[in-house]
Amino acid sequence: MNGQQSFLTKTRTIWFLGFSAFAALVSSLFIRFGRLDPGQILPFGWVPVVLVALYVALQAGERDMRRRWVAFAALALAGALLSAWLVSRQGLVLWRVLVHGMIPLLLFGLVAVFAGRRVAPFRLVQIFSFAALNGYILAYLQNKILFSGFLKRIPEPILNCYGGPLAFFACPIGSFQQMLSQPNPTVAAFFDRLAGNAAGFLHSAGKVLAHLPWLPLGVFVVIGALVGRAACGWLCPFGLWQDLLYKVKAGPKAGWKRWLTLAVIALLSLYVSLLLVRFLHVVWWKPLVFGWLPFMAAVSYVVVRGKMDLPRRLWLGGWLAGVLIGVLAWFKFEPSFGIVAGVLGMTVLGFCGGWYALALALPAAFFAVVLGPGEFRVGPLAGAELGLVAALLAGLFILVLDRLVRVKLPSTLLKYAFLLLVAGFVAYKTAEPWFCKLCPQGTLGAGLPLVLWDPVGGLRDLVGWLYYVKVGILLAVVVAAMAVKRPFCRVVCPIGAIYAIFNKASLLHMKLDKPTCTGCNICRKVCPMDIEPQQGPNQLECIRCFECRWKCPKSSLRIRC
Amino acid sequence: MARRIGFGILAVAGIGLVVAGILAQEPEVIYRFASQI
Repeated sequence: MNGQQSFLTKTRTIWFLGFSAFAALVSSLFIRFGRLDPGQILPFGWVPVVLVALYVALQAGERDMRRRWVAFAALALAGALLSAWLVSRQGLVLWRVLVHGMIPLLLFGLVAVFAGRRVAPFRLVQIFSFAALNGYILAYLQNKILFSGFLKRIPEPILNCYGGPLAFFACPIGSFQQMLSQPNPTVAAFFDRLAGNAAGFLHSAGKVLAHLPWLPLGVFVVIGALVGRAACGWLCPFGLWQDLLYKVKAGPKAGWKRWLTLAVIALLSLYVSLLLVRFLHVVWWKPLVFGWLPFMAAVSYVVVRGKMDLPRRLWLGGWLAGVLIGVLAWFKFEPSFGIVAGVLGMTVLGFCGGWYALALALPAAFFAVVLGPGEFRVGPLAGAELGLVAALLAGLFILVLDRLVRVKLPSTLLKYAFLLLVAGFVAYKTAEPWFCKLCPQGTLGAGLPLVLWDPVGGLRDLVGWLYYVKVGILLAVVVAAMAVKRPFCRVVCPIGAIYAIFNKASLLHMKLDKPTCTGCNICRKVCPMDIEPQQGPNQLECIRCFECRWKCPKSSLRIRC
Repeated sequence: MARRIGFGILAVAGIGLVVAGILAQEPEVIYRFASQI
């Protein structure tokens, strides 16, 4: 080698062939099981993916800028030919092809030319998974609201809302809640037949087992036993969004780039706010004052201050006070208010703890009982007296558990509260999928696009207070993901909570060679979950992206199967 | 070895759950929910 790399290296060839074969396989599955027209899926699915794979393969790790520009020219030419074919032969409208095909492709190419970094293997698979799971582009082109082919019967192994217009598969946690909430008639009938006329244990067992989500649980167990939490790292589109948001430039080290970032985010979020004003026919200043301004204030804080660490501890007293406020609001107003108050309360108060939590919890507990129509009575207590008792109880939780005994739990345990309380108990009790109703991935993948686009008409009329709560939660997660590595995956995601249990026992795992580890801490810096692999590479939060293994200068971390 | 035994038990349990779900017509139940808003 004379310093010049060969244009077609072995790595690039493997990437290109591997992606092309994978894209062809997935396209064939979509044609066979999704009952899609090959004439549509090939130009919209396989061909663009192969083009992007070719481009990435050509420029991956390329140091010579001229070669990157050659790859860009090849991509632009292929995109132009494809666009011309789609317009002339497939009868698509030119502006749609340009706006949704050619221009994003060229922008992607320009970013890749100037970024010019090696793309991590898990990142390429994440991008491909995003396109494969959300590739029903016909929904947009032919005004179809949802995909309704065979694939919608299969729960995918990660969080991806099945209410999204582009989604091919069913979300496992959505299916999990739906089955918990309503008994499966086939299982109930099976146990009734088995029990015959004899009432007793079999009848009772049948009633319980008819509520169990067998198939989603089976998917979790099989995937978890095989690869642990790898699906979170390699396949989850919401994980990809969070990884990309964390790349937003912030803090003094970013220099002038952070101000450019701030301006771009301000313009983009203003554009979305104005779209909501236009389509939802709301007073123009409300989305700006209650949505855009607080969002930009929070983004500005992150951009000025820089990246942060996730609070490692969750205060038990604050968490219990949040649950108490939720229970009070459930009985005083209605279950939906109580669930929203409980979810927000246990998150905010749990993280605050101490005096901040006390200042928030006392008035919240008092007003949860006192405000609103009707009377809430517990024994002889009602009205302001009951409000004072509720505030006292919330205060006692915080003072005793947070200040005196100082009970702190790992903050990553909060996702088990979301799994057991929200996706489990509340879904069963109310017969509604309440995690889905508040899920930020659902808002991003289904809530926002369906309302802004409204393909069949009438969806915008369904927008109520809960929709604005969902958008608020999404905005909070967006800001948090700019500041902290994967906050949703670490603190909220119930699917991650289930997979994490399997991390210690999964077939695919990692091993640390302690004698060769120098403690350089590179593994922690590159970890998208901010764990410390040198403290044990099979921790519950490890998503098996293997970035630590690729980046370790001593190859101390090894993949084992 | 313990990891492999654990994996074997979990894999059998998981496949059992998947088969039980398919026999209980769960794909059709999921489809009913997932194909409507």
